[in-house]
Amino acid sequence: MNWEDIKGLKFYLLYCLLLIGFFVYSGMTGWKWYNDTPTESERPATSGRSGHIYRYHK
Amino acid sequence: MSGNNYTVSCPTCGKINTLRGKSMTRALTCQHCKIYFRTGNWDTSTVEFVYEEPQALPIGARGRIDGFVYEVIGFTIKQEYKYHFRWREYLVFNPFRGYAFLSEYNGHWNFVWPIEEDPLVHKSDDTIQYEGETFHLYQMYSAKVVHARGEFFFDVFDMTASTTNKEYIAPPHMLAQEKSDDSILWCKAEYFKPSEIAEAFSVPLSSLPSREGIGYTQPFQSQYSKNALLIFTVLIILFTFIVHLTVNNTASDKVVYSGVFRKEEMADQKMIVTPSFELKDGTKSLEILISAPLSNDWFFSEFTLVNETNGTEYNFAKEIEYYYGTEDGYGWSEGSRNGEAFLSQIPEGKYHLNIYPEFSFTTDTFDLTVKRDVPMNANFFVTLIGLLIFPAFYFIRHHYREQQRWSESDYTPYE
Repeated sequence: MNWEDIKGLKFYLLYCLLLIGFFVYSGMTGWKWYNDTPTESERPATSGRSGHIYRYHK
Repeated sequence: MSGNNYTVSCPTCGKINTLRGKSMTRALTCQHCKIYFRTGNWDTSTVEFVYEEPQALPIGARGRIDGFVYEVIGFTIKQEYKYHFRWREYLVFNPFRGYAFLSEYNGHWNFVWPIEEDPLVHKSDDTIQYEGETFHLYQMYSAKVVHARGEFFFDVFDMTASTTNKEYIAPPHMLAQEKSDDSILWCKAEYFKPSEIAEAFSVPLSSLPSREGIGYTQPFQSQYSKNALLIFTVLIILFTFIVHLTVNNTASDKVVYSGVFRKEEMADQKMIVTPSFELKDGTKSLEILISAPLSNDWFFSEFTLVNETNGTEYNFAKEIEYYYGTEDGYGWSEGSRNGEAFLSQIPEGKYHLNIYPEFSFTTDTFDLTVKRDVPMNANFFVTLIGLLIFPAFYFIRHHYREQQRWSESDYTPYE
């Protein structure tokens, strides 16, 4: 693998870094991409964003 | 044949031909009547070619290849005996580099030049190691000249008819062996795109034959090598695995609440409210582990995780079931006495759980454990799939193109 190969792979490298970055962020914030526990969240009316939010596979 | 000052007269029409190759020319076709003849007295026979095809590079055309200007001296169309496929060869000449060939088949070009070394020294199992590359036998054939124009430094007609050829490929390179009873000539070749030939000889690209299929020395076009992608993929997967272990090892996996609940303690209540528990360290996951001593039974409960600070509620449900028995003398079981519910991205704060259990006939107790910031593996495997999509696509495409490349070979490894 030489510098020309790395230049040729730059877009794949960028994609990998973005994916790994997203993977790390998800791991650090406890975000399971495919969650088999359907969850429904409800915020109180006083918060200004009341209502049900269905977060399946959150 | 007669002549001087690098001219020869045609033995058929008698007209004078001026030789581009001067004293080196051994055979030529008459510029007037197209008859093929030799310049010496060793063979006075002539050949008349009936077959004809358009010639992309005219005799006398000059082009720069690898920094040297070559002139087109001769042109032949050769036909292989077994499958009757035809290809075109241009004899090109540079006074300092000597002669070489431009071979064209189905619009794919190879620049072919003679080499001194004997590559067969390293031969094994129809492969050759030469100059750091592994060449694989692609074809073995005999051929004849069905058309010729221009001049030749050898008797191309007889030489082609009396030799057998072996071609070994390592795209974009090829090693070609021409073997007769008393001689072996080795040549090395390199693939050229039509655009490179058009640019080298200053001819319009449209005047060259269009490419069909994949040339047998045509390289797989990419800005990086197959090995580089393979090495990079392995490294990136190792790196991701290390990152995964690091992230999982930093997960606190801390039990923030646990309790045991019995049906009789609920009396007439439909709901159990747990004591408050504190979730810290920002937004993290939460896992609720449920366990019940099930025996051919089920347990179901709805849950509400309540954020006591802002009132946000997270509703979810979980059912576990466990059945077992014997059938035909064999024991069986299905389900589990344990189950877990996973909640993603729960912000820090003070929480409690509202539990709405539904007991069946035989189960009257269950355990509950709430864990904060638990390790996860699922995302890692999804990430792996994401990382492997591109290399997988690349290698599948590469394999398909190699299959196409070898489809015309008797020595294909893809059968």
